Amino acid sequence: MDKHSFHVDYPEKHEMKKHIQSIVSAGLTKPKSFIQYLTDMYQQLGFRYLFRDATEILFVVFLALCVFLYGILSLDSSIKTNDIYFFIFTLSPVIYFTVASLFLIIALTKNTFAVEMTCKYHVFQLAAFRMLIFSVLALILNSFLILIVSLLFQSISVLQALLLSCSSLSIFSVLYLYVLQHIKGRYSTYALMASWLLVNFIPALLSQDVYAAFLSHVPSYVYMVVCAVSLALYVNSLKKLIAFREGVL
Amino acid sequence: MLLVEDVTKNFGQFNALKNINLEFCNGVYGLLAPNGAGKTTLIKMLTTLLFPTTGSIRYDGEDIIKMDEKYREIIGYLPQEFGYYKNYSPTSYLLYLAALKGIHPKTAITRVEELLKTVALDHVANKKMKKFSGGMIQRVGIAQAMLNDPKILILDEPTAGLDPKERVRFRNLLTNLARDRIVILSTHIVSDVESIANEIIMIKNQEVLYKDTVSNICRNIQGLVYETEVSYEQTEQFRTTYLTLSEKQENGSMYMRFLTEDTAKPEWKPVHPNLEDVFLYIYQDGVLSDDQTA
Repeated sequence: MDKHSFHVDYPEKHEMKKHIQSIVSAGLTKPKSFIQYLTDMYQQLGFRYLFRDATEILFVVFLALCVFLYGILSLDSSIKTNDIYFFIFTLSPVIYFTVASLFLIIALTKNTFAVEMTCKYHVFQLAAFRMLIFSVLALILNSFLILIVSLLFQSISVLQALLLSCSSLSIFSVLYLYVLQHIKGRYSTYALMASWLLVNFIPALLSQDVYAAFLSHVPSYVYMVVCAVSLALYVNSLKKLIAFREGVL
Repeated sequence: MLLVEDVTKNFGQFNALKNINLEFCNGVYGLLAPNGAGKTTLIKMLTTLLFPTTGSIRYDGEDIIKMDEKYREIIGYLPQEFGYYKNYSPTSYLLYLAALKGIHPKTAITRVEELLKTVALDHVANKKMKKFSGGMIQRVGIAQAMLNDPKILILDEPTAGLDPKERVRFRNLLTNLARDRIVILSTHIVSDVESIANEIIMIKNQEVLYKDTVSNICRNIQGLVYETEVSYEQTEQFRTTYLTLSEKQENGSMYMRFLTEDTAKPEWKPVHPNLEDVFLYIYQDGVLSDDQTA
């Protein structure tokens, strides 16, 4: 029998690899990185829609700033340096909490919530972006307030105060996001703020000197480590918030 | 195709829906049941606002929860209580929602203008919504649900607040839209779906009782519906004996439409049952208990 030999034009190995790669990349969409996600969201929505309520936010921030400035200017000049550190640590998350909570609770309780949750970019994805901005905003405002305090009370170390404030804000932000995603209830974040104040004020009331001295004597590198760890946890929690959906209705 | 497979939804100990199996292809589906039967729970699961306790919902073979934003990009949803920002105009609110839906700003502007014309709100496109009537707000809601030209349009009680003319316009719009998409319409108003739905889904005791065409569903009570004339004195007695479906006062007596399995009397005139008759028959316990509590 006459055998016919067919010539099959096989592609080169590198060509096969290239084709396999293109098929896999077309079939499997790569999950976006957190930063990429936020950038895309910003490009699609812009400042206008991400901060639809910018006027109200600015008003609340302005009010909070006035209250803090009034508080700072009313401080007794004989106040101990350690006590100032205590106040910085305890009150640093207040601006963040006020802005983040107030507007998120409004979004969750409005009738617009159901429609906004079925959109490509839903309420919690917007919240994740906004909270990141709010935490930066809170950091800047806290730093500004610390600078004012340092001008009035020159005994405090600005670096120590800033580290204390950053640690406090980052620890609280992580706790805040955890509570938001794991504890059901409209007012769970408010309970967290109340608990934060209680947990800090109770030891201070029992023995103010010891607690304030503890806060001011923790070495700076410890605060730096706390900040770094909390920041990593915070970004991780924000990523989870982007995918958070069930159980909110 | 949208497929609901063995879906059960529990809220703690409370069982809202059990073993729901449904299949949706292009066309209008009327989800018909009294208030509290689980319609909104099912709708919320179809929009991923709630997740099933057990079972799954798939679109073209993919789990809708795993599809995440890919699924949200192809749905349009009008909730039972449509919320809006009072100080926004329909244009600004629709542009805001278009941005959230990932629609390009230039496309959104044209689409919003087009939709506002469709729902006859183009003359108030830039007026603040705080002065709008319920019907106008509902029309904004309908427009927003269609913004992304969705492949699945889910409407929960969409005709609430609409006047008869608007209802007719809305039904015609849905019929047109349903040519190439799935339209799921939840309502307890029978006339909303009777004329336009390809299939009716009825839920009773947390389960799907019927998923069929209007005529097939009506066939279930064929030969059981009658009309007769009753004197005023006999009305109360008649109501307690038979399931009255509707009553009309005319020429000094009452014309009763009713349902019974008893042998027909000569004065009873047999009539073709309609969807409302089936609805009242199926949910008569609910109707009775509603009356008793009233």
